[in-house]
Amino acid sequence: MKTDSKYKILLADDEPQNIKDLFQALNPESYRIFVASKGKSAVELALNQQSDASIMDCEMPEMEGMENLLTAPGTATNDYIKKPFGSNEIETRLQSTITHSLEQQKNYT
Amino acid sequence: MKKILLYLILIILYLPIFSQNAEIDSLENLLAKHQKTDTIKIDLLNDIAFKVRFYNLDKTLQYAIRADSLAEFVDYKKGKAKSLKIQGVYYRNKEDDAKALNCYQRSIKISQEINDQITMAACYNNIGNIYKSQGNYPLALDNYQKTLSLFEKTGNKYYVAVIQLNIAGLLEFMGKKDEKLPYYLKAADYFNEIQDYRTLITVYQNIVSAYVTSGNDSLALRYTIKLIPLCKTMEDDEKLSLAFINYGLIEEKFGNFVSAEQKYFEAISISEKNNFKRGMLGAYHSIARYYYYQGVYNLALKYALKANKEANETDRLEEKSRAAELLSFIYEKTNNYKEAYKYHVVFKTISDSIFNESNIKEITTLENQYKFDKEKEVLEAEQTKKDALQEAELKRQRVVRNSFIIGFVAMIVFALIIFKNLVHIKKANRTLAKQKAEIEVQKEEIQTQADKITEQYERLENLDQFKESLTHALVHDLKNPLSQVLINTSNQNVRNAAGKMLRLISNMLDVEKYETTEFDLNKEKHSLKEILEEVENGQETNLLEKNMKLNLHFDDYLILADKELMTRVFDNLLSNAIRYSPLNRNIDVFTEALANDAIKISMRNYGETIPEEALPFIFDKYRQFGKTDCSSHRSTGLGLTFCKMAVEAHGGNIGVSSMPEEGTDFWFTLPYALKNGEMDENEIATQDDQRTIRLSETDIEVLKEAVNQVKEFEIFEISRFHEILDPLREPSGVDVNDWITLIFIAVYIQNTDELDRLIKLAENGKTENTDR
Repeated sequence: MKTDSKYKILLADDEPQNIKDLFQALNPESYRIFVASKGKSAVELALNQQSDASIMDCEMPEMEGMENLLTAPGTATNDYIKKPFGSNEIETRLQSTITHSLEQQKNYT
Repeated sequence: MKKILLYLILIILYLPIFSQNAEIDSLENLLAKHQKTDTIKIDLLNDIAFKVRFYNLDKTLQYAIRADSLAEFVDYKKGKAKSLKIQGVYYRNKEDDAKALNCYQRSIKISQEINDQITMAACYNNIGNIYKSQGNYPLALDNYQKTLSLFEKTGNKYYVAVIQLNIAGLLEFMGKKDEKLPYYLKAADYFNEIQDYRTLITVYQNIVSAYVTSGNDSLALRYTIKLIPLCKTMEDDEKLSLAFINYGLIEEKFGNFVSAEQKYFEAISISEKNNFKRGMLGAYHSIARYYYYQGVYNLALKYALKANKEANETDRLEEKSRAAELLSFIYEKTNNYKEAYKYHVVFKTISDSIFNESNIKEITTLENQYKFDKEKEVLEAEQTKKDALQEAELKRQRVVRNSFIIGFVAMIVFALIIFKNLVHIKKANRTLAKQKAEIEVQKEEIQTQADKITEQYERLENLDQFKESLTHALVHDLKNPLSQVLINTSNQNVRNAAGKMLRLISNMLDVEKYETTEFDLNKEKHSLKEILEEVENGQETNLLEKNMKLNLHFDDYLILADKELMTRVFDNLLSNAIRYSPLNRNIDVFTEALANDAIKISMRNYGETIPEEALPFIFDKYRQFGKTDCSSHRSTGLGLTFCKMAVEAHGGNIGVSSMPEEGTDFWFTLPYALKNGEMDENEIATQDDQRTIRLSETDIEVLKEAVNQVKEFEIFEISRFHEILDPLREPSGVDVNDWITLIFIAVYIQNTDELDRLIKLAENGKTENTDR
């Protein structure tokens, strides 16, 4: 249960129900999951904790600065899933995104 | 009567030009050789004609007429004028004054044309001579003066001097003795200058006479002293004798009698030696008079008799009378009265005739003067009249000319103005035409654009209608499957979500529907409380999530309403209230009885107040207060619109009031409500309480370790909360599960205060009331 070996996932949504659903969709063994209910804190969290992936609701309060996150080095939030989504689907997408992101990071270095 | 009788010597000057026959002969020879008819021949003819007059007057006329006709032939005006003048001289010598005058005047006319001043002057002089001989002295003087001014212009000093002498002589005749002197003096200067001493002697003599007559003896003496040596030099003994006589007179007047007597004798000796009759007469008379005044009567008689004898030899009456008078005086003194009487008679007779003659002369002169003046006056009047006429004519011409010029200038100015205006108008027209064309083009463009816009608008409208109908169809088609989901699922979450969705869809469809059609109301009596409780149950999960309840602060009412619609109104209002409420704050519902059984129902939440500027629009379609990007307040915005429509369909009003301290009230009225008698007071009291979680000692014990761990977690690390808290769920009691649920809700929405409160609750086992 080393926390370091887990991928850091940030969940950003202002609906608690959505957070709950997302959390249940993810395997807790594989991820460290953070939560943000507002756009601004999401950005801060994503940058400070260096999350590997973020799952964000695109319509949240305080979304200003979201663009910074999207263009920040090392982040590759470039996939979109429309609600509602199945639990398997989100897991699969997240995995592929993280893999892709890591490959890209390797290429950079 | 000591009147001194003066002997006045008057010399009338003629200009005798003595020529030799030989000269004329040579000229005639020259003429004979000169065959050519030209100006030289004419000049020659005139020359001969003029010079031959002293020898053969008839020849003068012949030559002059030849010259005249030739000059006429070759149009030689100068020759013509000259020949006319010579013809005048001929007629003058023939004493045909009228013809002479005619010739002179014609000559003057031609001379004027060619400005031959010498010929003109000669003619005027000759005319003057004619008038003088006729006794018409004023006209004579006039002509002489014309002559003088002309000669002065030519600068011929000899002629100027001669004419001045003539004028002086004329004035002598006219008796204007004072006026003549200046002419003599001027003439003297000229003759002296041109060294014509012979004539100068005569002039001096006249000057002396004039001074003597005017009594200016000293000046008379001065000129006499000048005159005598001049006469001696020029060997003019006649003039010398006369000069001595005057000299004697002057000396006598000065009282130098010896000298005077001596001078008289000089004169007598010179005169007797040369047998100068006039000199002898003058000298004898003067010395006789002298002796008479000296009382030497014998000598006086002797010379007086001699003077009388000389006087009788002349035809001059004055001399005769003077001599007779003197003799009469002398005989009187010598007491020879017989002789005295005899000479007195002679004197008297002669002097009478002289008097008559002079009277006649004077009368004639006066007549002539009068005539001359009158003529002159007439002439002047005519001249004035002529001048006036000329002036008037000139003025008229000037006026005509000026008005013509002014008219012309005005016309030009006018024409210029018109031209300028025309140009201006033309230019303006051109500009206008250009602008018009531009405007036309712009108009067309605008029209085209307008057409395009209309077209686009129509297309957009069509598109919009299409979209709307599509949306409507879609939304409508969504309703049925959603109802199926609601009916067939047991999962609470699914039900919640489906309910929410159904509400949104229903609102959308209804708003759209009732915009065009009236509500079809199924009004029945319903318990207000029942409806509200039903609504609360429908939203239970939502209320639970925010840890709140719906508190009804009223006795039950029976309201007359369409139950389905009223349920949905409350459902919307509550859903709204929950959304905007903070955690742990209950939502209150109040009623207020209004007049005529009407009722006002208010639902109050304690969330953020609605900005005042947003209040008027809050029930409008798709309006929503707050930031547009605020997704927590996101909705279709049709809920309140639907409420307004439904309430108004029931005949009520809907409104909102939002105050920072008091919360936000959504209220509406219904026109008809009845109080429902059955009431459950306990229920109300219970509902009034804060929702609480009570943790037992066991619960706290169970949670203790977890709480200590949870305290250390960052609120956002949701996976760690789950790691710790999820295993505690099942075996524990309801309150523990509720506690855990609340923890997660706090974590999910990052509510630190709520998290702290729950941790403290788990640590102490106490409940803390949320602020009321």
